[in-house]
Amino acid sequence: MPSLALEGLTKSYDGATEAVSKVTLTVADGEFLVLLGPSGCGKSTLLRMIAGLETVTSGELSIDGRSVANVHPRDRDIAMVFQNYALYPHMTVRKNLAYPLKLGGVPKSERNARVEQTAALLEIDSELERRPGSLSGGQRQRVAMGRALVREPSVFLMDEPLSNLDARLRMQMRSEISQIQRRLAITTVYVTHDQVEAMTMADRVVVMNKGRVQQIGEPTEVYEHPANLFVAGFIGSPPMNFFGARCAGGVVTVAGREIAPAGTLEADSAGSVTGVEAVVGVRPEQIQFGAAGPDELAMAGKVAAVETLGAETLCHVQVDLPGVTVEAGEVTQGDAGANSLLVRTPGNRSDLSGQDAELRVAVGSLHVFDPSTGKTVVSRHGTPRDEPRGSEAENRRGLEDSQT
Amino acid sequence: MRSSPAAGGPDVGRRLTRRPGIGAFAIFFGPLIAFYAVFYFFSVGFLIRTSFQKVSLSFRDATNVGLENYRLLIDDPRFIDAVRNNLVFAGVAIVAAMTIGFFISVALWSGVRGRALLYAVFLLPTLMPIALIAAVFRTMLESRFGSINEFLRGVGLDALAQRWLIDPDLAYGVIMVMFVYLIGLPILYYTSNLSIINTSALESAVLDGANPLRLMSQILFPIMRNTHKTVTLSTVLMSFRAFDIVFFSTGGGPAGRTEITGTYVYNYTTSGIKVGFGSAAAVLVLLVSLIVSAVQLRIYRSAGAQR
Ligand SMILES: Nc1ncnc2c1ncn2[C@@H]1O[C@H](COP(=O)(O)OP(=O)(O)OP(=O)(O)O)[C@@H](O)[C@H]1O
Ligand SMILES: [Mg+2]
Repeated sequence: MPSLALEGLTKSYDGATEAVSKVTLTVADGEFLVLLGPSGCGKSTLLRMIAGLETVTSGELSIDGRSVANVHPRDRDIAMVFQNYALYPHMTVRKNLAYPLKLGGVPKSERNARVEQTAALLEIDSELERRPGSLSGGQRQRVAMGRALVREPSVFLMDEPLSNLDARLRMQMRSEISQIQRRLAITTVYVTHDQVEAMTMADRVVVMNKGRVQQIGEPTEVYEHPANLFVAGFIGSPPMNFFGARCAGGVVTVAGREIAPAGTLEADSAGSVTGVEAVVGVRPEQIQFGAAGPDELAMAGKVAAVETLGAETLCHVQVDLPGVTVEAGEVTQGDAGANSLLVRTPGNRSDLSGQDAELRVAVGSLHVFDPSTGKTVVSRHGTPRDEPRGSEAENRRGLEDSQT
Repeated sequence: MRSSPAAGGPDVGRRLTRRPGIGAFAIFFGPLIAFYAVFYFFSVGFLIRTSFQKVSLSFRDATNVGLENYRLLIDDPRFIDAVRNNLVFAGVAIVAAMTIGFFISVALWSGVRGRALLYAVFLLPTLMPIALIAAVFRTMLESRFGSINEFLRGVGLDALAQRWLIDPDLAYGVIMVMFVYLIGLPILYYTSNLSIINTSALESAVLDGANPLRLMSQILFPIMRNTHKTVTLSTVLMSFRAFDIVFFSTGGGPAGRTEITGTYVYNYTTSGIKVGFGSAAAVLVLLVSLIVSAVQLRIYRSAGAQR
């Protein structure tokens, strides 16, 4: 049984625009679900609706099979960790941790035992008598987690819990949170705009934009089979390269070479304002230097700039492919003339700077998108997807998965 | 502790907030200090000097009497009563501010209907001259023709129509009510604090299972301790200067029952003959209010050190 089920959940603050729009998804028992999206896409709003801190404009929400539409936040059996920790400044760490138990009517001796146990789990047992004001950011973070975990809620919500920590600490907490979550098998919804957190921690990722779910899937799936231009451009760092392609006679062609059947593409793109017939995407690490083999697309270009990162090198290569500008999942500009491809190659290749170069890309690693709808027509590994991998179809699948 | 990287934070902060040089201090505060110094030395010095003298308002023919004025003062039960009344009224005002005032502020902040109107109702008295309010209270409470008693008699509650300002105990109560009535400033302090408060601690408490009452008393109230401090101090100081409340309503009467230090000092210094005595009273009141504030600050500081 799913631990948490959302059905067409919608939130509008002003009655006109929807901050969260028709979100349908389920979270399985013990699953770690990450809500990922750019700032303002409605992640926090969605989380706060689950918590009951925000009213639901329309849609259904149930926890452990029970509809919680009219259930007060305190009776939903959820705990939440806020970005700014939201500790009680006037209480010691011990009292902070004990407070939810005290309100829950847990007897004093048991309360103490559970506080000690949780503090040990989070390694804050030596800070129990201190007040939040005297703790470091990382320690406050742990206390906030502890206070949420101590009463063993059925759903654990976290809203960008690591964003106030420095990079090192963030990395460390990332793996610690994952471990604790797995150990306690606690159903978790975790909000972030940091894709590294999403990729490393999530069982499944929900990519959101402008209040809508763009795709739901395992991290690798979202990376390898982005459902649309938005997901393709948002996931991955450095981002995916995009360029324009022709689409004639039911086939997508790049630089005169047929790369994939056009599927549903031709019909839709006729009315495209930008004049782009098809958008092709390829990840920087899928492009290699060298002469193309039989199943590969050959491109000639000139290395305009090189960024050496130690273990790998990012090369900006000017190629003769029609450029397209993709912003937030939409094609905003058509044929921009010369195009620069980002190529990610292992080792230190500063020697390539200013050189003419031959590039090769496996045809099977090209993604093809419909420029007017942004939907993926052909995904990596060359499999045309027969159903749109948008939110609804994917969610239906998610539902079935978790019901079996 | 594993989270050592973050421990650098406070240190950096301390380095950045190094004290400015003494030169800059002199430039910025010098003129201000000079101005205050002249003012303080002159007024307080003058006050202290006269407090050791027997002198009339003409300030001629002053004779030095040493501590005689102070001795007389401490032996005067009316003076002791005035100080006690001051403290009682201050206490009542503080308790009212921290309960009623706090509650009203939270209600206003959490968005009750008619918020603007309520703001006006509570804040307006603070903006009006207290003398005017006191005079209005006095007129309304006048026992024969005052509007309060006329109203009470009009609805048949003759028994409740009292001699408000003539009966000493009632008059005492009336002054208390007037102190409570001036709750606007504390409400202003509280609402401005509430508007910048971090609400996620409250949301956290709601999820932890706190009902509204607990939310107010166990989370919101303690979080606002700095404002309580401001409210208490300002109320105490206000009450020692709240001369007009009493003067324009009961005038300290009946029979000195509602006398506070302000009216006591006023009566002696303006009657023109015992200026030295009045000055001594003023000096003592100053001392008392300084001591009260110092004690309060001390209490708050030690409470603060615990966290
Ligand atoms: N209380 C509110 N009243 C009105 N509009 C709001 C409110 N809270 C959020 N919004 C709007 O709803 C949209 C989604 O906001 P939300 O805070 O959920 O985004 P988010 O994805 O959490 O962003 P971030 O990553 O910056 O935290 C935004 O356009 C925001 O302006
Ligand atoms: Mg947010």
